[in-house]
Amino acid sequence: MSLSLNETHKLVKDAARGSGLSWGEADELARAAVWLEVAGQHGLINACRAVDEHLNALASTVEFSSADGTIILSPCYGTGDGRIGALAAGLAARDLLSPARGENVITIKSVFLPILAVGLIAPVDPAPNNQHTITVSTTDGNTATFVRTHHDVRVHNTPQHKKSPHALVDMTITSTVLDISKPRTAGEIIWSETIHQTALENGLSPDITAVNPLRALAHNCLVPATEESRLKGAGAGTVDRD
Amino acid sequence: METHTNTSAEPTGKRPPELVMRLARMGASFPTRLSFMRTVIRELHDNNWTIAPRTIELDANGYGHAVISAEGPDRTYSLIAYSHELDPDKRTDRVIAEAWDATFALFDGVPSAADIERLRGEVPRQEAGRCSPNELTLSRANKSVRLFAHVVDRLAAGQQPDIAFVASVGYLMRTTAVYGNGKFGIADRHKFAARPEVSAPFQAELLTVYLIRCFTHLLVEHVARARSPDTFTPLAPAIRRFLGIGNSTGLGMAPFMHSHPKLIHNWVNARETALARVRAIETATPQSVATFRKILARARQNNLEWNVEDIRQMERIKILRSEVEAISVHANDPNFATGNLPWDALYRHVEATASLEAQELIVALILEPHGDLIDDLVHTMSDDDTTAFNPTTSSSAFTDHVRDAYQWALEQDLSNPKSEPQFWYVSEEKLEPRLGERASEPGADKEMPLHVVRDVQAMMRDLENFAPDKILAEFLMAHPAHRHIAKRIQAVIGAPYGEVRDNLVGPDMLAIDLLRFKLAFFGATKFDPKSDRWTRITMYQGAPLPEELASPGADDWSFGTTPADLSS
Repeated sequence: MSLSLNETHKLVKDAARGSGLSWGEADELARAAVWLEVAGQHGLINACRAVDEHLNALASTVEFSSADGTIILSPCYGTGDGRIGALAAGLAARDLLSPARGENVITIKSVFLPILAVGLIAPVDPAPNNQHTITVSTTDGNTATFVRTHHDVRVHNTPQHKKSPHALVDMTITSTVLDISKPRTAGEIIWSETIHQTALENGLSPDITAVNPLRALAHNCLVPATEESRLKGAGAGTVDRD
Repeated sequence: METHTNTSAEPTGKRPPELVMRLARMGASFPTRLSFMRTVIRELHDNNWTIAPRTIELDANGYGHAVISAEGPDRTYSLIAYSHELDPDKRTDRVIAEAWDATFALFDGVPSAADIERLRGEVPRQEAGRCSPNELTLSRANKSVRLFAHVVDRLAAGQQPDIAFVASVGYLMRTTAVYGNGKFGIADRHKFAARPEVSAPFQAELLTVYLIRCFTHLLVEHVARARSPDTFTPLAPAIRRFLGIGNSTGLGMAPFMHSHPKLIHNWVNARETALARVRAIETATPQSVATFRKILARARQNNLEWNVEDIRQMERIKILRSEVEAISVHANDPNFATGNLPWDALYRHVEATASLEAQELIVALILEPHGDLIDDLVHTMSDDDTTAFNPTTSSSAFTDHVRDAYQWALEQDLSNPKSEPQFWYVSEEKLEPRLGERASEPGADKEMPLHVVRDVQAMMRDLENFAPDKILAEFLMAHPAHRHIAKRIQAVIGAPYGEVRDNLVGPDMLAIDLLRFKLAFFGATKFDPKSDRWTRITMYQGAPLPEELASPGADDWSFGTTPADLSS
């Protein structure tokens, strides 16, 4: 089944809203899911997991560290045992990763479902002379690195998140000036404008097993139809024979 | 030659958002030369597009399919039209309909026979079908049954239709939805947004409507010819030109406007910039005065032909007619527009003496002679759908900004439940947007986020208790529920026309005002409200026919009027 990017966004947004996420978070999750689908990173499956995670969420206190010494303690959606959900982690990291703050490093401990956080952070264009490096490290030492430049996103090393998406990881997000004197290491290009345009030309083909659960949640946003709402709510007559 | 002030820089005399973005004024909007249907016709004219049927496979009753292609310098777009027999009991303009007289897709290129067969199984089902990114729009239309039958009867008998009957309806078919931007599997707008010919807002959708108009002319003549080939006569060009396309529009447009504040700003900013440029003209040329008088006369006649059943709107039209009479007397005075800043003086005069309908009409009329000065603004009316969000701004600076820019929302008293009696929701019935009464109808817990006043006030309560030295990102970590309104407020920085300065769930809110505002930007005319929640309109009435697109006067079709002479 092929979905347009806009359909995919609406599906995830409504499902997230239907699960109780705020309008703003729902929109962010949907944007991340679309970006991940375009990048071949199973956006809908991970959106499903994020929504499940939210449905079971408890307030957690989470620690962010940034290079300028700022420590932010904040109640966030988490699992109640100190882990932080991908949506909260990704949004926080992305919001703090600003050119206005100069070069910075953000570390987030114990992130659950890190690829979704990548889907929130990696779309941010770092401007032509900068790059963002997102390092995802599991506790057993495996590391995947996503490097975002103005032109593309490349992934280096085995993406552990694909093998064990529920793994608990630490994330480090670094914003640095791009050193153009050094050749870029190859890596697998998972996103570029060309890839994006190809998705627009062909549509997305998400994992169908994620679509129905999301649709079920999205249905929670809808108000049951009644004859009264049909007549009062939209105004038009129901038969037009002129 | 007209002389201008502020021609090297944008004029500073734009009407302010607090004047323009009020529901009452928005509900008095008229199409201007910047409206999107005008843009479609200018593109077809400027770049020598040809429009012609490619396939006609219709039976004697007009059922079957046809393909009409628009061929431009770089690309071809094709309307695939499927014409169906429809049970009269199923003919409804509502989105809840499941069958229509005709269904359409705008194909990106020239469809193959396989494409036409593939889409035959999908397009007639509309929302229940699945299209592909090769299709740019999906649409449907119902006949104006009595007029269609009358025109067939007359043409088959070798006669032209009764012009008074034609004028009372104005179209052979009316569309009930024109879907774009990825709906039901069709192409996302971003697939083609960079193409010059469709980069302005809603160009694919409104090219579709123009081609549907062509199809209705083709269809009615086809059926009449099949009925009596020996006596058949084609429609007189003057009547074909007068026959536009109808449309029924409900509440769906309002949530769209709310969710695209930057886009709406760009539309309004272009119009207001155009108005400011024209008002800054120091002296008028005889040519511009002559053009103004011609358009004014057409608008005057158009108003006389604009008759609706809605009592509120009909009263407004009657007042408008008398005001236009007064403006006409003034405009035909030999000393008209001979002073300094003539168009500004005219606008000020109407603003001081006439209704909102007349004020917005005069905006459209004084823009009309000045295409050379303002048509470039069309290129500023799109939006790339990106939102500039600066979460590193300090919470104190953000608070100050909200206090300044949203004073109108903060000063509203929501303590009385009567201040927010309505709510917007989406029905599970074909996902139709609806408007409910908060006190008496279920569903308010699933309200759509159109209640800006409440959301701004709620965010401000939390902001005022948040550490002022921290940044907005930290505030949103602590208060994630405010993310959508915080992002909206930042998006509207620099886009002040993006926000309606009224409570969209308030007791006085009439959805029809939002609909007219948006439809006027599309270029619609003959607004015919059927309630405060839906309206019928006419599109492309008076627009040039395909064979006339190359003519020098192709852009001169605003305020179409009933043809007095059928010979041209």
